[in-house]
Amino acid sequence: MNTFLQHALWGFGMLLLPVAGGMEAAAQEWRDLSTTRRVAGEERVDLQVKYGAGRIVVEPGSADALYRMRLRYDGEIFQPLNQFTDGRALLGVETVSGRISMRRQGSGGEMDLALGTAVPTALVLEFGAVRADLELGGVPLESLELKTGASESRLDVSQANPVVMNHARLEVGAASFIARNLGQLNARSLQVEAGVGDLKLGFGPLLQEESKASVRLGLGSVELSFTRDTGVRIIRNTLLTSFDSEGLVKEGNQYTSPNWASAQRRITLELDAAFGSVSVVWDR
Amino acid sequence: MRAARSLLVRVSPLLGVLVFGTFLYLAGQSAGDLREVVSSEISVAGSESSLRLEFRDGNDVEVVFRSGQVMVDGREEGSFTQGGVLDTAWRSLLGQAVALDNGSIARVFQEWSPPADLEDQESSLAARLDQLLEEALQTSPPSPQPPQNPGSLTALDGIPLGALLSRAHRLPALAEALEGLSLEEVRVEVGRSVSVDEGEQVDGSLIVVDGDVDVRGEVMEHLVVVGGELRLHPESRVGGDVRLSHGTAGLRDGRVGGSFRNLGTTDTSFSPEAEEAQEESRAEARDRAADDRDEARDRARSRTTRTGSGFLSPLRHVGAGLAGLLQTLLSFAIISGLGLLVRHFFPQHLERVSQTARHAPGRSAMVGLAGVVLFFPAWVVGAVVLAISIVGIPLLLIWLPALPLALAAGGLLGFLAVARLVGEWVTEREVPGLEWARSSNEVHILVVGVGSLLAALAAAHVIQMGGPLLGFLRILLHLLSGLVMFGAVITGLGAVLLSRAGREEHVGGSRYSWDDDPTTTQEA
Repeated sequence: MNTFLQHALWGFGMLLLPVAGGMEAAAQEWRDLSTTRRVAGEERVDLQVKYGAGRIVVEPGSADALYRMRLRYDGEIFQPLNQFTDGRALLGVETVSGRISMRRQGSGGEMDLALGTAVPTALVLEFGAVRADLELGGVPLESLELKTGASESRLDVSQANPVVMNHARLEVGAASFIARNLGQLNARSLQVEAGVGDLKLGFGPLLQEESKASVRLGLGSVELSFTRDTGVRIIRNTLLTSFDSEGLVKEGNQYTSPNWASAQRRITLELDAAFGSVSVVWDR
Repeated sequence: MRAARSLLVRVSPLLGVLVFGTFLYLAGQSAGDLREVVSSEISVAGSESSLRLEFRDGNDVEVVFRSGQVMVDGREEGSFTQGGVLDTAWRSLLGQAVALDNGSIARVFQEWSPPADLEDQESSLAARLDQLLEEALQTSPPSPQPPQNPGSLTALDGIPLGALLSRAHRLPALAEALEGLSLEEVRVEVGRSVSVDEGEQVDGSLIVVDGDVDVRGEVMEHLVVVGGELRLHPESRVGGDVRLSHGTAGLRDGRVGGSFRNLGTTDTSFSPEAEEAQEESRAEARDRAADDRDEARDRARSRTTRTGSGFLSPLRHVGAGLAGLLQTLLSFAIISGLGLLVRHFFPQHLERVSQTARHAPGRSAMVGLAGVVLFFPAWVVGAVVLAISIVGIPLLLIWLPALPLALAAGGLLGFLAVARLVGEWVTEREVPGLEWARSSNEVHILVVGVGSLLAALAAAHVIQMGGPLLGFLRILLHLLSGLVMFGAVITGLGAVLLSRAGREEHVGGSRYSWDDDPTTTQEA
């Protein structure tokens, strides 16, 4: 919950100024920035993206580039982040130090980021109040950390991650979050922490034979979807939460799919929810 | 690179040296037709457009059109007209480059030609810019021109340029240390310690970066130490200034012809060693602070023990009781003041809430209790409902503070309403000492009511002055005070809810006429 509060407050803070935006009518200084970094012998890269407000699209790019970023931002309030040192990159925007403005800062800001498909990447995405559309299919991800505040985010992994990921962590604040094909992340373990919101987590076909996942929800609803051939076991630890376990056999606090013993790919999911509802659905 | 440019600007004698060395360095890195661009950054805004290319050899070139000035690598090359032909052509070029990958970017900039219809001033600037871009992108840059200051070239001998440039983090400190110094002849040592033994003489100035300096002999001109320990022995002689930056003066003696300036005693620049040393220093400081806290705590404990058993003990109880009494009086004054304001601006609301609490105290208490219990879940659920949609999030910003504020306001209004009832009851009883308070005076009623609700708390503090023997009674009074306050707030809050904040008259689920209220009629 602390994580949720941090991100939710961050997101609310980003939204605080838009509420009072009507008080100031000064013109915005829109700037466009385009940057590309080619692969220059890097064996891996740590990529951190910070984006506070606006719309962000992340998608796979070309093999000869580490990343390509296109930004549109209000230069009166934000300044771009475009740093690369020794295989560590920091991209996105940050507020101009010491600048306080009452104008609408999130509206109109855009960021398009294309990630290279050749160099293994440790990716950290930190969003505030954004609309995020993330397609990570085919990007070689060593690790993934996604932190969102008050956002509306969609994550899809349409192609398999070519490298094995040890751990993926998704921290969702107050948000609507839809994820598809999480199994294609090729992650040994997946951790989802949600504060308040509406989550749809689609695992799709799994790449790992044995996967572990944990979902922690403060308040809201979660829909978990799996393919029919996936062996699913859910360990439930909930409080004041309805649980629709369609197609699962209950044994104590464990809910197991009938094909658990024979399934080639299995996932064990620990569910920890306080208030809300959880439902399990099966992909057709 | 920025730090290096800063140094180049500030230190004129070394300018030529560094430019020359950088050109040599660039010349040694060439391969192929065009230099390989590893990173490009193109920024376009209303008043500014810029290009930054980073090459595989680590060097970069930056061209900025800003506020009518064209800057190349921080140098002003000329001026242009915003929105003019050159500006438009440059933006068009950047627009083309945005859509291309890096290999093509280099080609585009190399092949760029300035527009033909430029005016004289912009035409020469555009030609120079074109030339600069081509030179920057060529794998074999043209032979560097000799620096203008011939004196600087003589200083090139023996300067470990590579080592100096590899310590980019030292360059700002070095630039600061060299500021204002005239360096005719200079010996530069980087990354190693230097000893000037007795009888030895350094002609000109001595600059040492990241190395210790031990001087027993003579430095004819200036001595500059950045990031090292300086030891000036009694027999040492320095003809000019001594500048020490990010280092320590282990020994300061001898004769200095100019001034001695220590520009910073702590090495704050980044290096693993410095970081480690700073961490150790911080750890020591933390330990010392912890020790100091423990010592202070022990002293305080010891002092408390001594005071508790000493002859000042009664005074301590009197002081504590007096402080509590003053706090209670202050609370009384504030609440009474607020009550008078409410009475002045919302007399009917206060009256209706008060009547509701009078006619339905039990129901008011239950409703108030339910309101407090349900407040938090209602607050959270409302927040969730608003938070799960982007549209509702701005409303969330109002919802989050508004509900607690509304609860606090309701609690205050309810407390005042109950205080008013209590005040009425007390003033009608002609309590000794309160003969001055008239039951027909609303101000008297309110003040007496608030005072009555706080009386138990005040009495507890008065009892506290009597010392520990009456401690049990004091605790009882505190409990009583807490119950009274809680009951007043809960009952009042319930009355506020039942009467819709005093806008309606609700008692026991049935409405009653304001005019029919016997109390109101009597007062009228």
